[in-house]
Amino acid sequence: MSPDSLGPELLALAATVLAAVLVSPLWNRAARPGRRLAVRTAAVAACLITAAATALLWVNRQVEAYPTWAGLLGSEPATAVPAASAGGAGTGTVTTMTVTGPASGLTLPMYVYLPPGYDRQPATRYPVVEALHGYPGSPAQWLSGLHAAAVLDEEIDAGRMAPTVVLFPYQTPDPALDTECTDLAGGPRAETFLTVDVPAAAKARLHLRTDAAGWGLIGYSAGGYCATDLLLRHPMEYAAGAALSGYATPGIRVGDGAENTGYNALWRLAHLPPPAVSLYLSCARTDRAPMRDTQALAAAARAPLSVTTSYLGGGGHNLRSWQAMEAPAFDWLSTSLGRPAGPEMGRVAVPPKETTALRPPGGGR
Amino acid sequence: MSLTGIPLILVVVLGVAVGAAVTVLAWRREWRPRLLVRPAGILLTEALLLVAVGLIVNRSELFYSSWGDLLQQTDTPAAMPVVRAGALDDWLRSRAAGDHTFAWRPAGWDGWGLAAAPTVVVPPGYLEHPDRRYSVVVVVGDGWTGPPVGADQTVVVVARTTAATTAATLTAAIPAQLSHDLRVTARHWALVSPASAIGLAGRAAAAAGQYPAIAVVRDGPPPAGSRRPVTATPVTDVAAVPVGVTVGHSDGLAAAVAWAALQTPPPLAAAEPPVAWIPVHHHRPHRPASPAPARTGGSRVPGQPRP
Repeated sequence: MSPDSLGPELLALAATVLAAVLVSPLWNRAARPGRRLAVRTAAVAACLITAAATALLWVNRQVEAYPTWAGLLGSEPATAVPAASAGGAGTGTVTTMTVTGPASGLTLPMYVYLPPGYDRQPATRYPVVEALHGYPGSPAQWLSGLHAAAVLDEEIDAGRMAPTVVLFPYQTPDPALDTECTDLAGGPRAETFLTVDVPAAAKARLHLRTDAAGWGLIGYSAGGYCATDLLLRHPMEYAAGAALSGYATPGIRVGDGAENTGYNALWRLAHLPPPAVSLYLSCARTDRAPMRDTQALAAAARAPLSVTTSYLGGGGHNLRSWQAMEAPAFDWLSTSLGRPAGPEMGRVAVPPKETTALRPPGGGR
Repeated sequence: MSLTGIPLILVVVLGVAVGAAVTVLAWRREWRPRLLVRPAGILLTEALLLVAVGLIVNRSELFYSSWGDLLQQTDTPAAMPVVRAGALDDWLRSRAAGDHTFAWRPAGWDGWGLAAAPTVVVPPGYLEHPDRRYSVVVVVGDGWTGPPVGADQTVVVVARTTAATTAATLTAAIPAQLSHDLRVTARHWALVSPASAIGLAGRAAAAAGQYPAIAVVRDGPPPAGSRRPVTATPVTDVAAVPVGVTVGHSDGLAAAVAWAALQTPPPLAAAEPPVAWIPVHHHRPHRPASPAPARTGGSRVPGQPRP
């Protein structure tokens, strides 16, 4: 029974009701005034604590900041393989892997979505999307709240998206520490972890495209800022990024003032040559700060940077809005990345003739 | 009363005060249902307190901006995306099977500064997948020998550019006309260029999103028995190509076209809902529980069209 399941929440609710019910009989129970005060204080405190616990567990269920007890109790973040992670034909699989990062020094688990047919096509190198979570939050929110695996299955099956491997890494080693995917001065180096260690670990263990044309980023809320920021900062590693309700600035102190310069996407667009990458910005019109930032980014973008925007007429800064944005954003990413590559990528065994020129190089398997 | 307004917060905070006061006042009354009234008062006050905190946080963070958003009342039907047929699709269908190469003479092509009308090579399977849009590889430069080279699941346009050809021909004129005549994507194409035309290719790549990859074919005939793979290099060795554009170097045209095609997306169906216009809540029918029929044969990656 994980902290984000219904059980603990119902338990906390029951405890809240029980505490409220027990206050009355306990109120005049103790004979001595000193003892009576202690009992009364304890009873009122129990009421407040149980009510707060119910509320906090509800919030955790919404944002999945602590998907496991291990994460809540202070040890390393953890991933639990979600139920029904493997399906039949036409269904991708979700697995987990641990990224031991030599460059960042961080060791964190990550979920991996493998598209249908991945295991049957060992010579195919797939395009990859790194999906970043919001703050507070965890990668588990992509899989539970946003149903990413089902959405990806559906988009790939309908041909709106190429078969793609999607990585769901943590952007922080501590659920209470907001890194905004930056290298914090004197703190965790989340940017290095996400842009060096995660790609290296994935390329070593999976058959993926290794070139920038096959790598994209997506994220919601703080993860939306991450997608924009990491794309602009690493155009040699990623070709496209999609930000759902994202921001233009990290909104935290990085420690060396870089939140106002190199980590500020608007500053980058104003002061540095724009890279030739593609950015998708999606936002609810009523979502004040992200809307302001999204419009500012779209206005500041110059060629060769390509920006596509999409605004929701309603909605807000919540899961339901991201559910609405998610599938089109993945579709867009797929139209901005290179295709799955066969074993003969970039090679032609036989100089093609008039008709054979139209056949795929490498032939059938 | 607005979900994020001050009046609602004041009403709820007032409710907390009233609830607390009533609970305290009712506490000492020797009512029979005291065991019911006391817990009810406590729970009601607690609930109102949490609602007040929630409203204040929501007002500052705007998680839910309106009642409709909170209660899922705002729903707009999604426009169904349509992949418009290319103007030449029917004409292609009427041609002999397997004949996918033709001289393309769209309106205004003679003003593009080309040595001849562009040659277009449509991939096999194009007509069998009318719901898909195809990526495009544009071969520039002149002096290519041999028959036009096609690419797997990709439309190839051979445009014999001259010194009079401008980058706008590659970034605006050809994309506009080709999107009218064939089912092709609007952006994220690739270029194949001889080393001599790299200046033009680089200027075209500086346009937003049109050509993120350039395959440069090395001068001179390929070394005998060459099996050198196309090498993608950092862009620093090609002047005037912006950071982020992938440049590959190849010994021959065929390898260059094949490599360029791999830098582009496969044929895909239109996004649903369209990427630029998303209804607030769009509900997809859930996938049937029964597994999809197994896909048979072929070297294709699953989910992609086959010729």
